[in-house]
Amino acid sequence: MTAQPNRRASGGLIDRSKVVRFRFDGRDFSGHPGDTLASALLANDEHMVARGFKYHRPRGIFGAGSEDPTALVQIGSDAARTDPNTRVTEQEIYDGLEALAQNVWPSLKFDVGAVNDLFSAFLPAGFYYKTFMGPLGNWMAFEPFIRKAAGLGKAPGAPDPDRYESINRHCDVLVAGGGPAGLMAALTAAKAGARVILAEETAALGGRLLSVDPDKVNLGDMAPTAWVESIAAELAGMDNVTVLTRTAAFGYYAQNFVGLWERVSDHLAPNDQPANLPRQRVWRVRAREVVLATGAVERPLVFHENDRPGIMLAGAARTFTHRYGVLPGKRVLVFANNDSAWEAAFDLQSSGARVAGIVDLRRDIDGGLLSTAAEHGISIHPGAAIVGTSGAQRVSGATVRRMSDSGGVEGPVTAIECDLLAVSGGWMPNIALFSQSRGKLVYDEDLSAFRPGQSWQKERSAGSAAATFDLDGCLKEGARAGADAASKAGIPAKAERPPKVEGAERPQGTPRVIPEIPSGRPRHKVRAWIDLQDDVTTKDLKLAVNEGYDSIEHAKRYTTSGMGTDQGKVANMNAFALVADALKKPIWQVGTTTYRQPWKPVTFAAMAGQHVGDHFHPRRVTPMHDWHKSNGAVFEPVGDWLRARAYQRPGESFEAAVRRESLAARESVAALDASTLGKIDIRGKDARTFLNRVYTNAWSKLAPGKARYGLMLGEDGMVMDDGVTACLADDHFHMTTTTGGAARVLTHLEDYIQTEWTDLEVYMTTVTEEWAVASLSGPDSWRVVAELCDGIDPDPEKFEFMSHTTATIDGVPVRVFRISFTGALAYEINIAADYGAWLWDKVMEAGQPYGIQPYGTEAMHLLRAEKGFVIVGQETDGTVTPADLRMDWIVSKAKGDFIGKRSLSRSDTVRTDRKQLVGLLTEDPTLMLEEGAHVIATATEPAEKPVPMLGHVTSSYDSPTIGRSIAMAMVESGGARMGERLWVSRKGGTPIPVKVTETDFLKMREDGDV
Amino acid sequence: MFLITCPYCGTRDQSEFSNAGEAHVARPANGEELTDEQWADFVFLRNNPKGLFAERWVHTAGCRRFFNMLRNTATDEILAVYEIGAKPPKVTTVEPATPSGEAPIGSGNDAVKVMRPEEPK
Amino acid sequence: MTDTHTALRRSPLAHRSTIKAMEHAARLSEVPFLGKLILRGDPAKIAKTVTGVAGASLPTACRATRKGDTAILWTGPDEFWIVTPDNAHAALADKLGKALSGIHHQVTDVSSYYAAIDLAGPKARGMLMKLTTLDMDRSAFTEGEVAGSNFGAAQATLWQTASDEEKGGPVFRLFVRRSMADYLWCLLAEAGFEWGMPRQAPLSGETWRLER
Repeated sequence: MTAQPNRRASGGLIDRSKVVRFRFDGRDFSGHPGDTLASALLANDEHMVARGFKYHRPRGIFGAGSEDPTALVQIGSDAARTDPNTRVTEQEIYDGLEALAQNVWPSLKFDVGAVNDLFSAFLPAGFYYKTFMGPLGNWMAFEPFIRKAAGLGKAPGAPDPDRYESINRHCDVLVAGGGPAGLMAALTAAKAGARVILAEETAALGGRLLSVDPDKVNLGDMAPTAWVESIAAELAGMDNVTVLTRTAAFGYYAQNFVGLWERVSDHLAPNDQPANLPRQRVWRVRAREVVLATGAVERPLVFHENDRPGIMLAGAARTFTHRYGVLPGKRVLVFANNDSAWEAAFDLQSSGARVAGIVDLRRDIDGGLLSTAAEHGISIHPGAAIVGTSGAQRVSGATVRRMSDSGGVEGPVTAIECDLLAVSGGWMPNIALFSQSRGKLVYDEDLSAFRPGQSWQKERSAGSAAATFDLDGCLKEGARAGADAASKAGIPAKAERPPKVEGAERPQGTPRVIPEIPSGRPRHKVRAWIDLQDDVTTKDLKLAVNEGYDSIEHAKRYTTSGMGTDQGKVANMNAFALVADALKKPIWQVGTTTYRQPWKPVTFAAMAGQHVGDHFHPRRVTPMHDWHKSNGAVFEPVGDWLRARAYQRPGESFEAAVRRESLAARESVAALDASTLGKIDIRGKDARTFLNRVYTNAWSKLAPGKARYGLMLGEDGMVMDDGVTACLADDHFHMTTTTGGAARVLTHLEDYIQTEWTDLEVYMTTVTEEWAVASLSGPDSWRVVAELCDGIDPDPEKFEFMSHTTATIDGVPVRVFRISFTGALAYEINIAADYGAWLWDKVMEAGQPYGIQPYGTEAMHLLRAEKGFVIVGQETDGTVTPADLRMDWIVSKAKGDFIGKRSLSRSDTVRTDRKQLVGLLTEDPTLMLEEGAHVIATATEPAEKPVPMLGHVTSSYDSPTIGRSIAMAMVESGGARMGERLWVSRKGGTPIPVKVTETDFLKMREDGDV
Repeated sequence: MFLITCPYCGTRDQSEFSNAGEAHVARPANGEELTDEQWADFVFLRNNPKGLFAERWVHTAGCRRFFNMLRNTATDEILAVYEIGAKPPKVTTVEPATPSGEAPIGSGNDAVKVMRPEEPK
Repeated sequence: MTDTHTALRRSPLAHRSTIKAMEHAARLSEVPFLGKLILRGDPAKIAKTVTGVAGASLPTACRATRKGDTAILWTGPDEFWIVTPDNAHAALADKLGKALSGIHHQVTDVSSYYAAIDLAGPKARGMLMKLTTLDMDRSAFTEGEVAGSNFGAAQATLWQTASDEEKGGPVFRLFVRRSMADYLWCLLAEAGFEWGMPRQAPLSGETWRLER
């Protein structure tokens, strides 16, 4: 355990009275509540936390928040909870936290992969493309190694035990960012009475106010943190405000739909996490108006050897100093191109560091800064550049040369020792969310960066996100933005008066941006990093441009610049500038890469929220479900439904159960839960006309009490659904649809009624689940119905096929249909679904003397295939006409127009070589064809590929009733091939010879044809 | 996700709705008299412009009514909703100059991410 | 029908019993066996007759009206739900049918089709926000409001039956297909877990939980 040598005596949002113990890279450390892993490691003088992606060079802590490109670690060693690519600058510490260095083997400090660095010349931009454009073998050979070396961190090895949630919220004003501008915006809108959500990415409100010297800056006579606390308290007291910390706005979508990602308990030890709260939450916010107060990030400088641990953004160094009470270096060298870095230098010096010098690319420095530097005794190097750095695992010094007029360097080399190199290339507004909102960016020449330009959605940017860098301006602009947003949301508001600011420091002025800072070295010996996470150097980008990748989007992908988990937050602007420089184009013309959602990595778990495991998807169950479950049912999903596929008895195989069930449905009686069939109540004086237009057959003469099978087509003439429709009264029909087609059919029918045939008086209402349905099949079925039902004589001689009637069971009304999908004598009993479970019990009880069996969907499929009935979606696939099914009999020639009619006479649909539905019988009756297998014309597969194919098997079963295997297939000109010998391909064997037959196998058996 | 204002239920999230294709495509009453090409034009061919488009939506999770919408497909801006049978209202929108061009703002596409210096700020 | 018959019925959530969050934060219960009719018709043509028969007037868009035990919910421009006490709907349907004869309309009994779930309490809004994109703020969704929407992956009709000011907090009634009722029940319970509502395992017995 080390003693936090870099911890300052006071200051910051940390609680020094408590000690937090954690492990990193197998070593024990301590910190305090309020620390991030980064601040705690820096307190312990640990700068190196990772190794680079490509070259495995040592990597340190570069930023202080989500902008940090490279300080990524693996959190937790528990296989289920481990989290890769966690930014040490964002992860707060807790007792027992374990962090592991990633991308290192065998250890952080000694890593074998570091040899890549010696071969860096062989890993140029486009390495993957170049290597794998060649023969396939290249990829095969390289893949195992690449897979091992690529990627950062390890995925969890066990299911995630934590809970996640998503929540939908609406508000008048959403404020993204809790810095000075965001706080004033939220306060203003909230005081006006608007519903406000304020989202702050870090653990505390305040933004950059937490990174300034509290002894120097005052807001309304309060220290910055005290002012922030007073505003936070005021907001917390209003019930129209939701303040979310540890919550990042990660995506700006259409019509002010903004995604927020809240890390609810990641900062707590697993045992301290509230059991009732999710680990993370996604807030799906729909805001009337949005204020983007997302702040700015500091820009790195691009110079030779700018990647060592201990090289850090100057602003980050100040954040560690003031927010976390940690001095990240004792001897600090500052490398700058703007005024704000000078303020950083003075600040670090007053905070206890010794500033070894300020190197500034600019020659002309403001007199005030020069005199302050002199007061502090800081040596200065204006018009100079750092041309190299030293230090193996931590920067130990840098070399400085004067810039020449021609843009190079000249004169003597000065070596300066340091243990922290604070760099600042100026500040860039955080424009990602603005650009995601599809607003247009403006390239600001003074800023040398992009800032928000023309808005597209209902948003405005405020504070440093809008390139307003002085504190007073940020506060005022925030208040104005809050007032504007609330007013535009319909709540008149006046900007709150901001506190008087004292002691504010100077903003950055005009930075001098040099895309690649000269080092005086030969071009091929310069290693200046643009993107620290992806290990992209200036050389890579220039090579990409040389090779013709002159679109920034292409150059990005070719080099992977900005493609890491940080999405190039600090790297991108330098990449744009370098590419523009190489192309000799203005930067606005080069443009930006696309700022896509999410702005920072969001866990998949948070996206999925509560809709996982038990709650992943609804599984619809029938009123009889409990009975099925307790009677050995094996279920299958049909659409969203869960249907009993077969009822296995103890020790019985699935196949045996299906045989038993199907035989009962043929020879005695069996019952199917048919409740899932779609049902539509159709009513109105034009109901018949409507049915005539939506089905292929005629409905004008169907009398009340009768039912008819119908086939429904799309306008393309292809079969889309089928079912039986019963006439209840002259103007009243009960339509059934397939289980999976119910919703689609109702929408299809409503479409025609609402938009096409608006003159027809027809109303439709779904009654699918109003009715529970028991379908009884088999010669004894009528006896069971007779026993059960009062007010009906189901004797098949008297109660005709395709008729229906009402009856009662113990006084409960039912509707009985005599219809059959098995080819056997069959009845369907419909009862109000509340009675469904009871009906099923009654059926089983009444059927017991006849040996009734429940049968599942597998037996149902087999039974209907024995009769040659089709299943829409199994025999058909959206390319099948009634004629293709050889069901021309159901297409009325006499009646008028119906949906799909004209398409049945299109040149394509009348082709005689279309595939048609036929039966197939294998010559060896014990052989089963595979569904989907190809039907071919030859006994062996011809050598030339592809094999000409006549069609495919759609259904195949082992039928105990027929006493052999049976199959149906769609075969080219199938109707004309009766009796023909064809073959069906199979994997790993010779094609199976089959005979083409009709599809009604029951009739064939009766006729002795099989 | 858009917000869609159902003419009957008011403004709701897009997840409640389903798109139902191009609007104002009448089903020919005289299908039998049409050539295959004419019929195919009705069944299979729909416009898919970049820019202003009249399309049908149905409020699937709400009132289940179909209605028409004018949407700028280049920017996803919804300009009007109106009932079935009504004529599309006159609207103005930022439209691409050519079928392959870009709307001046709102698409988020490469050509309009950044303002040109001469554009009014 | 008689009481002997009603004893034979099983409501969609008969296997569940009322569950509560801590400190009366929320309460989830089934309201079994309500009478439910779907009435289709042009309001301009049926409004007077319907009011005469059902008592309540036809509501305007996205609202419900009540008269005694009978409520009428607007669910579409020519579609209404009539909700009655147990067993009162059949006679009402009969009367409506007769009174509306000659006017184009449709009355459909859906009493068994839809489950009714009541969600009550001060945290009810917070729970619903986890399921639906509707604006559930008390300023936006008020007593007497009706909306069809998605709740998780289930379509349902939401109706606020009691105001936020009433004792026990607001009460929301959800009508959902009986086959989806258990899914919605479990998802609502999960949404209330934050406030101490017990978690519920789905009836289907099927789960997508990853197990190794």
